Amino acid sequence: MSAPIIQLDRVTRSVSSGAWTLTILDDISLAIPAGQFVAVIGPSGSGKSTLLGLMAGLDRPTRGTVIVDGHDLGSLGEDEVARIRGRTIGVVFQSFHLIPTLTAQETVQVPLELAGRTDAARRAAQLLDRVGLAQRGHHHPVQLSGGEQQRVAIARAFASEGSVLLADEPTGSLDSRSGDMVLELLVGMNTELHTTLVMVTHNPDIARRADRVITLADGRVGSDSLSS
Amino acid sequence: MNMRFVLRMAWRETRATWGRMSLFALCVACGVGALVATESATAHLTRRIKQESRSLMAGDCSLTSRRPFDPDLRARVAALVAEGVVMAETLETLSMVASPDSTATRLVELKAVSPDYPLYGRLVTEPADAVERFGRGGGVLVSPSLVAQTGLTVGSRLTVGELTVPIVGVLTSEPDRLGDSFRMGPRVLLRRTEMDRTRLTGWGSRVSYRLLFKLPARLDVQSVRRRLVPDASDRRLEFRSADGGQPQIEGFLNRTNAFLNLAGLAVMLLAGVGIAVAIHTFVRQRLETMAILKCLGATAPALIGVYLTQAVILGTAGCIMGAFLGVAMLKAVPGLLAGVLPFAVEMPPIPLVIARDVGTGLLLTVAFSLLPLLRVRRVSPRAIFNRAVEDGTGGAARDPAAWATLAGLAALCTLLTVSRAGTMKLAMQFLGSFALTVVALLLAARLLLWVVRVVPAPGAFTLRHALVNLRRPGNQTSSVLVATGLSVFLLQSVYLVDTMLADEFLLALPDRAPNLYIVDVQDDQKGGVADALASHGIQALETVPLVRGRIVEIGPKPISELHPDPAKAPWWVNREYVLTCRNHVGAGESVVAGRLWSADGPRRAEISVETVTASRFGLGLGDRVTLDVQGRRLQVEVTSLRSVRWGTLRPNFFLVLPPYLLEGLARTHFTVAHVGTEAERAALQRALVRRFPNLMVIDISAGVAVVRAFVDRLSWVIGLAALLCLVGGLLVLIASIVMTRRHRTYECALLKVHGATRPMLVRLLALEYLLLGLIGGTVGALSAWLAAHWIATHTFEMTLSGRLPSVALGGLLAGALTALAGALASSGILSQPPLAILRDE
Ligand SMILES: Nc1ncnc2c1ncn2[C@@H]1O[C@H](COP(=O)(O)OP(=O)(O)O)[C@@H](O)[C@H]1O
Ligand SMILES: [Mg+2]
Repeated sequence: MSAPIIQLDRVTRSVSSGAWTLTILDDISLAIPAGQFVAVIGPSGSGKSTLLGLMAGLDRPTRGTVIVDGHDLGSLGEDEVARIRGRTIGVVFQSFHLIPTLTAQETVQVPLELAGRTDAARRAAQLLDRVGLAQRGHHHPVQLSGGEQQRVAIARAFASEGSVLLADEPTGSLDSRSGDMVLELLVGMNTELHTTLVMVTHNPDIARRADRVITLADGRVGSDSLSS
Repeated sequence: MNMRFVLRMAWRETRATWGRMSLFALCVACGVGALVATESATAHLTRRIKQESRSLMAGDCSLTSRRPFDPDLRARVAALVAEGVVMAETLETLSMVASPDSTATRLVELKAVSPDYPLYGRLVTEPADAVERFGRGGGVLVSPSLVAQTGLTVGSRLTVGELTVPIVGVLTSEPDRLGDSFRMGPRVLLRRTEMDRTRLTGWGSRVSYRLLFKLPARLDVQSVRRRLVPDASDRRLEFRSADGGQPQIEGFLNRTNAFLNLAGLAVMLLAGVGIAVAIHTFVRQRLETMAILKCLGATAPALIGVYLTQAVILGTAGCIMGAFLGVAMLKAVPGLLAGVLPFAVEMPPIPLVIARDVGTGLLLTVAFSLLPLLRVRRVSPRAIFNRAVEDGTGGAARDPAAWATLAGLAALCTLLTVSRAGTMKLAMQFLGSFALTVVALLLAARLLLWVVRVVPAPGAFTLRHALVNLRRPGNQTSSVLVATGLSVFLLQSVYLVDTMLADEFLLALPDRAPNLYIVDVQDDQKGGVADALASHGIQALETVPLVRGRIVEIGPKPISELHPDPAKAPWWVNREYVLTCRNHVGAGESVVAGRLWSADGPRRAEISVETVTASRFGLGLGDRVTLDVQGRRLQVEVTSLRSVRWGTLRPNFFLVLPPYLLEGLARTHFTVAHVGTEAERAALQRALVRRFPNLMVIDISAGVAVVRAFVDRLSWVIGLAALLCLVGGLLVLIASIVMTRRHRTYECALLKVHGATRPMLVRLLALEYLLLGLIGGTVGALSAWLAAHWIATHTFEMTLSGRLPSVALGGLLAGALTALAGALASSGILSQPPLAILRDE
């Protein structure tokens, strides 16, 4: 097995406000090797999104270190982390988070432009084609259904050709038919592009397809099992 | 930073928010338009006045004296003439004229000129050839106002002193006389050689003798000054050069320029506040977009770059619109100034000024945008998981970049203000009041939010929700308060300047204000004049004795030591002061320090000084002053200071002495009276002049009308400035309302879902804006009043009395207007069906 691309070492994340402190993640250590498909499950409020946010460098651990692709995210400045994210990490959210003013084509172009790629438009069109939305490039988010929006978000997440894809309940806002389609895309593209996929989900079917299932409970890793 | 991304993203954002952000561009356009119009207008005015200064003097330099020039001086002049200097001579005095062809008598400004006059510029007459006939000795030229007032025409005879001559023409333009404004009477132009035959230049008459010089290129003005006036301390001779300018015109011009320039800048700064408000609100609405972009790997500098580029795109559009707007406004200025200045001023666009103001506008746009944009750095991408993206407001106070930007902005504003105000002092006063007003308004907003939070919510639905709206997250309390407050502040400042001018220039006179002046009443004529008035059923309002004197020493120091170079001394140093003596304060005067002597008190050598004069000489209570009155040295102590409201048309004086000090000195008396109709005044004038030929009887109502017309013109210019402020303020207000419109649309839709009716929502919105408008308006009005007071007394040497109630009323009115504007601007959101809105969100 190759060296881990994501490594969490004794990570604690707590928020405090005045007198009380809430520990969301408590002393978590994890190593995820490159190319692995990891499903993160657990009850609502158990800290799944927080964990994903730490891996994406969108948040900082209170204690411990988060290393992604060799970078210690906690030791870097916010803009530094943003650059690494742009190169390495794609994120897909439950509520899509598309920019309402951009068309689908432009949405997918943004990470490519941020990476300074000159073939942004062509590459974005290819990705839209891959998610089955070649004809919808000029549409704005309000003109797209939830499933279509999420497919645009997936195209956007894969655009930078990073090695890590993080998905936070990507089908949580979708009906089962669109959800299945989104899931097939994510898993399929993950296999094609050899990315590492960490997906938070409530769906046991998906969990079964993953290489590994991590269960969170009360901010701790309840179980961590490789599937056959 | 990735420029490609920045530019593309900026373009996309601009495209998406064009509708809302066009107000931003309009703000910029309004500000730049104001800058362009005012700076171009003042540049043209200054250039024109400089151009005209030679002909305004009718020579390169001049020498003026109250007495006929002595043989010594004549010899020095002759030497200069021998070297190629061209010389012309004029005599000016006031005199009554009559006509064998009419019953009218009039006080006129008589001027006798030698053949070479004028050395620059020319006399324009009607008919055109009257100048030549005048030159050949055919008669006198008179100004149009004399013709209008007396009905005399070309060919009528005019009696001037002991001379009766025909009128050969009407003088429509005289280079060194600025129209008939501020004049004692119409002009009568006479040949120098005929002056002696009038016998008006005898002892006791007030004649101003002037020599005008045109210098050959090799002689410079200063060397001519040294040769003509070798003794620089000789105060009987007043030397002036055309370069030295025209004190009265320049004083007027400088004030007008400063006023216009600052009004323009004020509008630009107001627009700047609008820009900041727009960007601030905009950033808040784009927080989610920014968080997403950060998630995709955009750095904070890249994001700031995106939105700054957007600001520049919109700012550039605004600047271009502003340049056109400014040029259009400029076109209106000559029409407004017609009649204020004696010459026409054309106002073509000046490319350099436009370029500079567009640059300034763009620079200010960037600076004002950057401040709210810095917050972008504190937007946390993590927040995106919580769906509701939190506001990154906190921590601004500790952000060094925010302070640096603020400092840069302050420096930029200071630089601009100093360059436009002309003097550092005025610039600081302007910026100080502007900045303090903004701070006061922000504090008022804080206070309001605090009060709303701690005071228990009232039961009434609309009031409770109006108050809740004030403090909901992303509220517009501060921006609406600042917008309303600042516009009211600027509007009221302009209004106060206008009323000060009106006070100063006789627009607000009481019913029985004086309209007839009787000058040069001798001691033994006092009784006779009173009798004559009584026989016409009139009682004089006041009769005061007049004596002329100079200030020669301040404390122990001769005045010549305080201001060694008379050429550089301000006009008030060496002037002859008209003094009076009386035991009471005059109309419109009040003692502000010390006490005025009483008629039966002890006889002390004391003096009462007007406050502005006192501050010019640095005089305070207890200081000693020495006066030279008809050769008698009077050493007196300042025992009271009086503030004077000029413009009552009653006799007011800089210096007042106790009566005993002037005993035995030659003096004349000055009587002011109110006489009902013009016919009665004319009858009284004739009767008095027939009985006392030496008297000057002046009907000042015509003069007052002229001045009123003049100030009226000026009011138009001021009105234009006020209009700009109003438009600017409204734009800022509408910008801040429209920017939060989506938010409110959503809220209103929700309230409707829960059963709120439309009238209820209208009341709610109106109530919210009324509250904001009233508070903003009051704070703005009070600031304006304080600032106007401060600047008026310390810079323009004017006094601002009362006005507080009307200013406060203006503030309240502004509040009501804000409520109306707010309700109107938001009314559209009420008509939309709630379902569509909720689905959109
Ligand atoms: N900024 C925060 N402040 C306070 N509590 C937070 C914050 N972020 C997350 N939490 C809390 O931490 C817990 C875990 O949140 P989250 O990671 O979103 O859980 P999950 O995604 O598993 O549902 C929740 O109870 C949530 O309320
Ligand atoms: Mg979650």
